[in-house]
Amino acid sequence: MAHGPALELADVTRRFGDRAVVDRLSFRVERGAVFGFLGPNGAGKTTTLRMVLGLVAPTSGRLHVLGAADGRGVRDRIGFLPEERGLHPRMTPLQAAAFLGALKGVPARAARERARTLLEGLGLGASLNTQLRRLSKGMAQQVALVCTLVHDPELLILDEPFSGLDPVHQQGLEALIRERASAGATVVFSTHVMSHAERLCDQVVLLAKGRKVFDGSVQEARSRAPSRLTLEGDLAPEAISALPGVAEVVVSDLPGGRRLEVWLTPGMEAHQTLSAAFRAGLPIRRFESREPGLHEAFLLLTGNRADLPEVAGA
Amino acid sequence: MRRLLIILRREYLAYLLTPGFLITLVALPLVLFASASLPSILSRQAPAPKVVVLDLTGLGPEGPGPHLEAQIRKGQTRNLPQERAAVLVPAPDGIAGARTPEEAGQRIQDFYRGQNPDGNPPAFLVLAGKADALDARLWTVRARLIDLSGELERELSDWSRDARMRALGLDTKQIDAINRSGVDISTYSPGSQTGRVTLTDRLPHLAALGVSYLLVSLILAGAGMVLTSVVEEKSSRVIEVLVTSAHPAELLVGKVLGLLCLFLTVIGALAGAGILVAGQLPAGIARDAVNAIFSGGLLGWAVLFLASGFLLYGSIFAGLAAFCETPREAQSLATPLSLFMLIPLFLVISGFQAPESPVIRIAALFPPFTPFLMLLRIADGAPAWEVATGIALMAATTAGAIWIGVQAYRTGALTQGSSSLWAIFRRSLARRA
Repeated sequence: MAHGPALELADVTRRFGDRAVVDRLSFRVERGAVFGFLGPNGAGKTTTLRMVLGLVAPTSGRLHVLGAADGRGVRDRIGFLPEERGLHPRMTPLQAAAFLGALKGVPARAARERARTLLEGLGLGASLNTQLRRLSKGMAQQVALVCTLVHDPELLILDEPFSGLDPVHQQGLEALIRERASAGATVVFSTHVMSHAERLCDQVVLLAKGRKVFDGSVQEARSRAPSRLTLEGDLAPEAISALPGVAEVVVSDLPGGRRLEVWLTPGMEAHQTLSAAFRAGLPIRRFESREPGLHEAFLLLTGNRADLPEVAGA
Repeated sequence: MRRLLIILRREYLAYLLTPGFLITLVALPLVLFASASLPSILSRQAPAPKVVVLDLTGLGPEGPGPHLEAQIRKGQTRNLPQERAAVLVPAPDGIAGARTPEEAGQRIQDFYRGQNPDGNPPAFLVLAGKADALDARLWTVRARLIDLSGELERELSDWSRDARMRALGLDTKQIDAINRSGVDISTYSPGSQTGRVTLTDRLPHLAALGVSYLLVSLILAGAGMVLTSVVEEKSSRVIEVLVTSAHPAELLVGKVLGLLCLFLTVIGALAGAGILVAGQLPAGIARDAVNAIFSGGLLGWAVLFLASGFLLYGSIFAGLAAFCETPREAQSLATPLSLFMLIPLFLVISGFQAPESPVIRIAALFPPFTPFLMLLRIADGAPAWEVATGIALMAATTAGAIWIGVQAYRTGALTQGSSSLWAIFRRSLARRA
């Protein structure tokens, strides 16, 4: 096993004309990590992955992929699942896996056997010899994933892998990512659905308008976002605003009282503010504390309002 | 190289193991045979032309009319060799009494007005004047490119010449002797097998022409298949996976070579059938014609030029196809290219008629046309330096076309949505492969 990070970018920029799609991006992914590459649509995630794969040259900056200058030098050690999954529609799952496995250096017979095992594990045993054009979209996506894994890659790059999968298949994919990581593979996946990243990732990088806005663990990302308290009762907004750690108060009327959405400053624990409120004897009838999730951190760090509804599919 | 061979194999088998290809393989010889023999078969089905001879010369039994009627009765008068011989029919009522060609013409027009043109009404040959100034007019219900006039003109010329020789006092024996005294020119060439040039010696030129036509057809068809294949891969997003699994050059060249192998399979099947047929044919022109294709290295040259032409045009088409999102876009892009490829078709025709002309000699060195014209030049005995130059230029151009095709393929493959072709082209040249 080689040493050094699986993936390292240093000041990588990619311009299309005058527009910097990726702007001075730096991060590193350690071997065996599950890495989430997060950002809204158009943030530059796919372009970055293409640079990693060597499909697009960076305008400036340096890349290291499994010790090579980019993915072209280590094609056989990388498994790539593009956002738009595509396989030859007249091939069967076994043929497709054998073909793509052979391109990655796996003997056809071994590729077939491994594909058979993986497909059967995903419940596609009855469709091994059915042409892909006759399979459902979800099944075809599963086959595409198997084709990505058939050569047992050291580095898995998955571009929006959960897109288009139903909840059952999403759960299956999460299990597969965990299984690959526990087997020693490095998994890099892009997504704009935070819940998957929250459950899977050791490390996340948030990208907005081509620039990195966060790089760290999920817990660290959460801590960047404010906690929130919901208070109900006959409460004066001024009294709540005067409590320690309160950043913003939004008031709405209820029958016989008010509901106050209280945003705390990042790092402030909700119980500290709540204790202060009780000590001050404020007439609180009901309270609810909500810890920030990656979703809030994502919205905050990418410059969006935190009270926006969570993105579809989360 | 390993990946290239894997892609080649996939492309080859993807087409080979389809019912359409197997049907084509069986049907192609039948189609070729049918296209060669159909005109003759159709001509034989046409009804025999009917002829009425109106002799207004007043020369009696020695006149041109009775002479022509005798010749037509012999069954030797016809439009084309494979068509039925003309038959003599009596003049319809109302036409026989005409005294001048003009009057006869008027009556014939009146007669035609009452006829169905598709009912094979007779043609009228109206003869007037004298032996040394014969006025002959052929009336037909429809003007055709080829009619009986040529054959009748020859017969009348024979009659006129004989009549004039008789007027000079020559007897029948002397006239026959003069008519037999024609001179045949024999062609000799050091390149001929026996010194004297025969049809067998000319067959290699005909074979080269046929094979050149075949090359134009195969390369045009193959380039179209490359185009379709790339567009399908792009529209189904397979291309994204492929470009991360193999170098674009391996993908492009593997695809083109896979299709080339498919066409070589077709040629191999045709060649095998040809060898079998040649073995069964009796000695003669047909057997010589088949042998001409398989001797003199023609087939080897054909394979070389097929391969180079395939790589040249296939690479260009693949590169362009990578910019297309849908088969319709590819089709509209392919149309002007297909029109361009008609140029070699016309050059092949000219090249057959005058393979040594400067235009053909230069065009044969010009790589887009080399695969189609150099065969004709080789059949005509082109000097070795000319062939070597053509092949060297072809190889260099093909390498350049592959390079450009790979850049375009790589760029186009990763471009989604509409974009300026020129902008993509500039980007592709600035991008590494």
